[in-house]
Amino acid sequence: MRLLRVVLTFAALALPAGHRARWREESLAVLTAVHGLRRWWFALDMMVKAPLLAGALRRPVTPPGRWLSVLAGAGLIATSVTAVAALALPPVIGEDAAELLFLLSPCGLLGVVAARSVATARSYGGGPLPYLTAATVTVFAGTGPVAAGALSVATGVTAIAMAGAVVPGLWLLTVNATALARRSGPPALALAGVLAGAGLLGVLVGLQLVTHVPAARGVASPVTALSLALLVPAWTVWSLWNGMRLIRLGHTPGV
Amino acid sequence: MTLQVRLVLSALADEPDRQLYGLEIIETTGLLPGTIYPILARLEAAGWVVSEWEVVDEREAGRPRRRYYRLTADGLTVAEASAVARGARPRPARGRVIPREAF
Repeated sequence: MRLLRVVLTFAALALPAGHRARWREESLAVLTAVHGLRRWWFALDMMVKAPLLAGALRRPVTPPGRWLSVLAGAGLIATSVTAVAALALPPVIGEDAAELLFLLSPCGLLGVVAARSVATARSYGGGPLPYLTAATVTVFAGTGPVAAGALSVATGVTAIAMAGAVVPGLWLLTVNATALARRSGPPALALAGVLAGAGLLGVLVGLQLVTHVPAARGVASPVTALSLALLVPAWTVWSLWNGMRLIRLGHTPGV
Repeated sequence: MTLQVRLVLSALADEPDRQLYGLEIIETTGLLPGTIYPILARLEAAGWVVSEWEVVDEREAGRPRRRYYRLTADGLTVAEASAVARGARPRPARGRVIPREAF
């Protein structure tokens, strides 16, 4: 039973903090009453389905205040304006400035990522771990490649930049795929978000590979180019549409 | 209302005055524990089910205390309405891990 207690303690981490002790005790009462293979089968089932219970226990969270939604929406609109400017204006502002603008443009996600991450942490009952996770996701997904790149330069560890390049695209992809599956908003908007997420993932990872892994350049260059072709229209549509929804309605799928 | 929710409501409605703990609900419904606890959580949040800890000396009993569930008046009304709407209460799948109806 000691092993089961340990296993249940770890599985309980998926639940909101206030419900963990009760679930552990209830589960243990059931597992104590059954024996042999059935006990382990039940334990496995409880662990695998703990996220379902977490979903049932999560408290509904009030949406962020109006001014926060407006700020997040403005940030999203700014991202598309910056990205398009970075792609259209190199002859005017120069290649280096355009590249910097392009890399900074995903930072407009910061408000949206922060609002969603904090809301998710609150729905899990708050506490240090959910808020720390929310802060980490906000920093790495909300600033595009900037935070991971700066950390990578400061520590001299290339892997941080590589890992950080995955986060923003993956976040966008996951949030919008979830919105699409749950039909929690216009499907076309969620689909644009999924495509933008896939494009962002391809562009950022491709750029990292081209920069840091010379052997991968042959594959990475066309992947980056294709992802960019996908990213620009999808990102523009998603960020403008979402930004306007946030300003007008105060909420949008996944946020 | 899903089949699993009806099974849980039906298990609790069979003897409304009796409280059941997790394993009894599992055995009555044939559902797995990972399935019944999210259902019980939702039913509890909806006010259809209430639960309380068993009052027992764990050392004397030689086991952890159990959490017992029972239907509220609202829950009983819903369970009966659900059974009437379906013509009869869903048949509990005693002895089966997964109810036949799930397939």
